[in-house]
Amino acid sequence: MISTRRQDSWKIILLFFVPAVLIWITAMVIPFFYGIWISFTKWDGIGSNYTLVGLANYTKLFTNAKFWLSLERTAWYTVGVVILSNVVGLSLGLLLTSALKGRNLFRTAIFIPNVIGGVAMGYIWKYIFAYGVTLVGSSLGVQWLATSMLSDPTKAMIAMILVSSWQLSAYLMIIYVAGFTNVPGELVEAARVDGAGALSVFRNVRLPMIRSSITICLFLAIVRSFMVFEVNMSLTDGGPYNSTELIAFRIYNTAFVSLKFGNAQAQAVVLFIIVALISVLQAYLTQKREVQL
Amino acid sequence: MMKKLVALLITLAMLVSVGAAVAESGADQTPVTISFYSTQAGVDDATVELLGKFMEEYPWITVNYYPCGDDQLAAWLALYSAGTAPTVSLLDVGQILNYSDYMYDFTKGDTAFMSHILSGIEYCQKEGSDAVYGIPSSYQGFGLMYNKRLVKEVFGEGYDVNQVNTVDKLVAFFDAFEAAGYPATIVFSADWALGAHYLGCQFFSEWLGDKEAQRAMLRGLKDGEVSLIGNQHFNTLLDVFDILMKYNVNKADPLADTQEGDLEKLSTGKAATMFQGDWNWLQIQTFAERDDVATMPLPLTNDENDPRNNKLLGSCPKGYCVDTYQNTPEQQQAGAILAQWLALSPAGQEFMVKKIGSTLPFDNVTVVNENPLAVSTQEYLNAGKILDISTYICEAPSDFWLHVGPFMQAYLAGQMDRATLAAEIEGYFADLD
Repeated sequence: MISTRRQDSWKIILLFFVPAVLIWITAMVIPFFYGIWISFTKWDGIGSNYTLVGLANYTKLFTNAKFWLSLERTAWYTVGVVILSNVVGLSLGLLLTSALKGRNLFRTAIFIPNVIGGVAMGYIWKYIFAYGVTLVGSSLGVQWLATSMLSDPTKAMIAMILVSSWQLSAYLMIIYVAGFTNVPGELVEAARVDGAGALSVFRNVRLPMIRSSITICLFLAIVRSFMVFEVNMSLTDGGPYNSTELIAFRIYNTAFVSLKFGNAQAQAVVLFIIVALISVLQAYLTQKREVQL
Repeated sequence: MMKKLVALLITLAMLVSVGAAVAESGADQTPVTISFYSTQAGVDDATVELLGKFMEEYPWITVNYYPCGDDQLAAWLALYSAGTAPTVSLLDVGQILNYSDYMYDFTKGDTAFMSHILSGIEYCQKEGSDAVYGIPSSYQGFGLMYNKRLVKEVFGEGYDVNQVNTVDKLVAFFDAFEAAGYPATIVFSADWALGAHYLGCQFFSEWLGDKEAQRAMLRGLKDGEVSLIGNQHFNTLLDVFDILMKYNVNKADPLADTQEGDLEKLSTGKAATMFQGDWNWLQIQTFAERDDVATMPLPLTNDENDPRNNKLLGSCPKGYCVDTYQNTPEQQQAGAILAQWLALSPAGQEFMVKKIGSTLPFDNVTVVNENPLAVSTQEYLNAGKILDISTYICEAPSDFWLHVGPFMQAYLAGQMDRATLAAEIEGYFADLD
């Protein structure tokens, strides 16, 4: 009897667990270690002639000012997107869990940007910035809007942050909506009975109760921002004059334009380490402050 | 009765001959399956139809089609990583040469087809080698595209733009447009357009001298022995670029343009000229309202007898190549047949001319080209008025435009002076491995 049960549980493990693990190993683990291996080689992208170069690809990175500049830009972009997308996502989440008429319609409408692919969205916004915004600016006599945001380094970076946040906040909104929905009504009610105002209820009741949502949203925003590629390519193409080339786009160009696969992979490994460290630190710090009922 | 007998005999004879022909064509041909990867985006249905015609003609060869995505080279390399390298690929010739170690050498088979190729074989060869790693698929011209209606309106019927063969005449040409109320030119600001086309193609072309002079310049830059700011050709190019910048319709915000927007301005008469190439017809032909356009040379000096002031830049952008790394010798042979058929058969040429609007560098072309820009290129090609840029395409670093394009953008936007631009380009070469 016991033996049959054990056999059944092993069958279930084989049926559900093993395929998933095999796929994970094939699609994630093997490419990950293969990528690390390539970073120690000089390789042309096709053949099996890997010339081992030791740490040469890494030492070149550490002396390459443009690599660090690209990382610095990515960090500033990440700060902008993480703050803006979370503030907007949180605000929308709060608004759309209140007694608002037609809130389901609004949730759907606001989520739509997240369904549009990054490349398509980048191209759409490129035309909006090039023709739409400048038309509005020149019609209203607002000089700083009359020229394209994409032709100025600082404004182009702001444009990328705006577009990325516009898309990402829609996704984060859904997580915040789930978080706010799970806040027990009696807690809010009790706070109100005790005389707490709307701001106080938000700060002292709702916000502590959705800290796990905040942890997830911050994590997602950080990782997505560091890894951003499609919007960078389609909206600014790294321009004007390379001032918005973020690190993932740089890695792509190093590999598929410069054909330096080992060097590109070394950049990818450094990026992975940075993102992993920041994400672990962020998760540790925010989880410590989560409230358990 | 006699008539019926004759008809029966003729029918029998035809059946026997057809059977014999099929038996002959298939007898020594073992069925083989190959694949074709094309970087010519947006014409997938027509490509599948074209390959269908090939398979009708060569029934023992089955061809699977791999269309490209946005990432043309990345997708191609992914096929190699998956162990499914395409047998035949239509690639940029620069990439064919980068990966020539894995490519079929067409000189090892029947080379009779090469006699039909007027220009472009040299683009598929490496320095110091006779091997031919690709068959050119098309030819493209670069120059000053112009709106024919505006030229007629400003200069009158029958005006020959080839009169504009000095820099002073170019300035007068532009002034006449401006005086008539038309912006004279458009400087398209994409990094690849400025880095690869305006600077790269022109700098390492026959403008600089013969191939050895061009190679010496490349070597000198890589070795750090060339001072660009003291180089006459570099300064000439930038002097003319300064003129283009002065008359640029987008000069108030020079980096805010888009390719579609610029071409729309040119083809609807909102600007008179634009430096680019004949492939832009694919975009121009999509505009509902458009004027006729053509291409003329961009003069760079004030010597009207300088033949270079009367020539277009020309190159072979793409070629058909055959993989030897993951395809069997039988597949390679079938691939070589497909590559030659795509380039030289009536069906293959009709596809390139009608669907892509390309100029073809072959002596057996009968298809009429409806792309007026390609017609311009063809006229200059036939007249021998083409400046060859194969040194740039074949021997300059593949990422030249990626790094130099942004410097040119900064120069265009007034954020970088000429001395700094020269120093940045020299710095790029100094950093090469």
